[in-house]
Amino acid sequence: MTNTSNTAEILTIVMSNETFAVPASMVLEILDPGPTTPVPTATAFINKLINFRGRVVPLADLRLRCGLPIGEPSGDARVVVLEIRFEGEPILVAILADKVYEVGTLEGVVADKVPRIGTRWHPEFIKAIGRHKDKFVMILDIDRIFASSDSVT
Amino acid sequence: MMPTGQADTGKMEAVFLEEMGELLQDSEKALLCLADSLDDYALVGQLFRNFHTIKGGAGMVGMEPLAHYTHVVENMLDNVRRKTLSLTPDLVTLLLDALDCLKNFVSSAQGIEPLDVARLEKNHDSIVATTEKSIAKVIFSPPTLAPIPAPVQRDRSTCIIQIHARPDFFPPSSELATVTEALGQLGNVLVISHEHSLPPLDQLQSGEFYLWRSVHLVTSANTDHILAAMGHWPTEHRVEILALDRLPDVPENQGQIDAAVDDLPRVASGTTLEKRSPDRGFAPSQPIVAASVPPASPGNSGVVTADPDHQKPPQTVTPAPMQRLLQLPNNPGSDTVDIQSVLKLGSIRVDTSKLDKLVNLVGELITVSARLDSFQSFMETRNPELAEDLLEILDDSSRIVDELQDQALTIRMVPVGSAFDPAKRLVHDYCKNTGKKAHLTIVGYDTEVDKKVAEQLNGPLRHLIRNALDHGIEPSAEREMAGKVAEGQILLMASHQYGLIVIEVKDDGRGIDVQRVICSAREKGIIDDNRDLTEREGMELIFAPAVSTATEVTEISGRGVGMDVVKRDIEALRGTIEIGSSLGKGTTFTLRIPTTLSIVDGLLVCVGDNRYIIPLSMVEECVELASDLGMDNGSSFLDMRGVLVPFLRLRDLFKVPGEMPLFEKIVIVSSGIRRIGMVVDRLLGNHQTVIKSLSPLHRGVQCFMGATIMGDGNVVLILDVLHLIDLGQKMEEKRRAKKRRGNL
Repeated sequence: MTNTSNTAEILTIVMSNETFAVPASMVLEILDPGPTTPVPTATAFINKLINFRGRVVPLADLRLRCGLPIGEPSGDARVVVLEIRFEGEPILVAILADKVYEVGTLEGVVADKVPRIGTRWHPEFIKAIGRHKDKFVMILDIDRIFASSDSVT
Repeated sequence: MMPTGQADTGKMEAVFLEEMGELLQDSEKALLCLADSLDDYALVGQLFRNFHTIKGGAGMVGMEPLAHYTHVVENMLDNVRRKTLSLTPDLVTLLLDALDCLKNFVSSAQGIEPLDVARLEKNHDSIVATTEKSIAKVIFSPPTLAPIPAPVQRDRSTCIIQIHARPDFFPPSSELATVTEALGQLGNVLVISHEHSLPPLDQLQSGEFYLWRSVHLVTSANTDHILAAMGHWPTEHRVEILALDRLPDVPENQGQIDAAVDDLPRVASGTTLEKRSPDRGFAPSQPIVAASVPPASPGNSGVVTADPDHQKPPQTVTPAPMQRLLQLPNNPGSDTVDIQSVLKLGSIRVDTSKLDKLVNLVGELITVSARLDSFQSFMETRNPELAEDLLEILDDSSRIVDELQDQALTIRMVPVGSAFDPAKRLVHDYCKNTGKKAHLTIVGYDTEVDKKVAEQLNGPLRHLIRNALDHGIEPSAEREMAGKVAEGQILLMASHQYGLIVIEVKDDGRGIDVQRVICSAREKGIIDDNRDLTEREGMELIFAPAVSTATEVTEISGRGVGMDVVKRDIEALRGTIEIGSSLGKGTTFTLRIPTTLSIVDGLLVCVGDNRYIIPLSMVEECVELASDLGMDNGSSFLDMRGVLVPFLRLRDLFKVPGEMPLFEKIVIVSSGIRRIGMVVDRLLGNHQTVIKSLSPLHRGVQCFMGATIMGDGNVVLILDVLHLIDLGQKMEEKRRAKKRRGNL
């Protein structure tokens, strides 16, 4: 642990064999994948809906958003329900993950800015790179991922 | 006044401001009616009562300046009511201006906008001036003065009792009543409030009582009796009793004049009353009745004989800014009654967020009911006997749920007229300011609509009326030349159709020249030179943002200022706006908006693997689509008993992969005038749904107005029929235009 500002509770998830982190404070619930409803004419990465405790919540596939390859669906797949801020208001959104690890403490941020080269994903959606259990994790800039989303195809 | 906690005071103030808002709205309505029929004194009475209630409430929550200002207005209205001031259009305008000032008061108290002090003072002064004029008139009017020298019995004498209340003393109405009643038993009583004892507005301390009153008592009783009748007042306040040996033959002070003007009959019959004196400017705290009489020391009530000839009215100084009066009306304690009557009347005030919560819960209940229904169907396959019993219970429960839902929704319903009222005012003010003549007719005032819808209609309606006045209605001379009545006619009409509220804004003005709109739009490069436009497309250019900002187009077309905003607002309510215009004859805007935003009866349909809901209120009929018709690209028309209806294949629109079924179904949907067929795979039956709005992340998705959760827990999208009709019509028109070009 370097200093307090660099530590944070995070949830690590796996998408296309890469490990990402989302702030644990955003996570409401982790669900098994259930029935989804497609939303015709909606933009591809966010064209599904799920029923989350009687609420209609959009389901996003961040692999499409971040330009990651889509592999075979695995039995470890989960749906993570997040509360994000959109135009200043808190809203719910669910994201698909190939696998979800536990909540842990980020051990330190090694890079505030993500180098634009050498990555397969879109760097603008990565807030920082941190270290967690001797592995590097990409901390997702969740609010930004959804803020700039144009929801129509 | 009872000490109240900070929170309580704030709450009381909020309630008062809300009530005041309603009273102002009501008053505005009354005033605008009054503008049409200046002799309707019932309306004057209503206005008077409203202002009176506001004044009382303002006093109660400690908004002294407001109470003072309202009093001034009330006072003028009182003169109108008593016909000492005649009602003119100018007076109505003055009162409307006063209403605006009071609205400003409300919103400044709510922290929405700053207080417009300059306007307030101007209005206040004009009202005071107008009121004074009326008083002046009265003084020289012999008939009203004639009864003043009331017969004075020689064995009785007149006393003037002056009560200088302690600053912290707010007499409860009941206490005032008790004292005046007790005095009334001794003889004839007249209570006068001297509101000129009030300091100027800026020196007012809320929580202090400035008013002093005097009581004129014609009695044979002696001083001790009088003091005794006043209970503990003489010990608590400064009370002076001045004995007069006769009543003055000619009223020399303002209080007496006032008393004589309107209340004398009641004085004579011994009724206790208190008279408002007009807002005459006297120096603060300067007594008028006994200006020359040395005041007795506090607490010690001496009897002084004063010569009435010495009672010269003091010099009038500049009008005191705002004067206050705590008035004891004929019905003691009616100040409180007025405030409570708003709360009574069989209705209660509920926070709308609570209502929303209720409607949401009913929605959840409906979802659960649907789940129970599907569980019951499942049970039938397992245990038919138990399933039968369960069905019975479910029937009962669904009946109650239905009723609950109806009731929950009606609670939110208000007459759409509340959105029409500002239009009346707009027309009145516009005509006043520009000299144009226009008359607004309102039809369907009581048509019910969700409160939220009514609120959000306000802006668009205002805009449409403004446009009709500005651009539609011609000046009188021009109208007469065209053979029309000089006064422009605007119709605002609401009705229910197909589960929608339909609002028409119609004028008989000059109409819109479509060709010129199209030409101008071409010149501006808004549309392509080569593009063929149908008349309706041309007309709809009015709603394009670029057209509205182009002033030349506006001048030529006579329309289009901010029409894009209107369209956007209506669409936000999931409604549509249509325009129809006939050159030289007038323009009609038709708005179609769902009456409620929360629950809808739907038809469940299937397209590909997915289910969708179509609001049932817009479904006209369902027919089978002949397979050959569907295959032909050139014809996307359906012959419905001789009427050609364009149709839209949802499979194509939603890009559903796979084979289409052999027999598709067409659901004919209508928004009143326009209709289209929507081609679906299968019909699954009726379904009642709670509309859940889509996430803001799906804001751009226009084909759906919301989603719902089915009994099986799945999410199903609700089709936005109005949007799809629009889409279908546009596709059809495009197709036709293309065909026309092909033929040329």
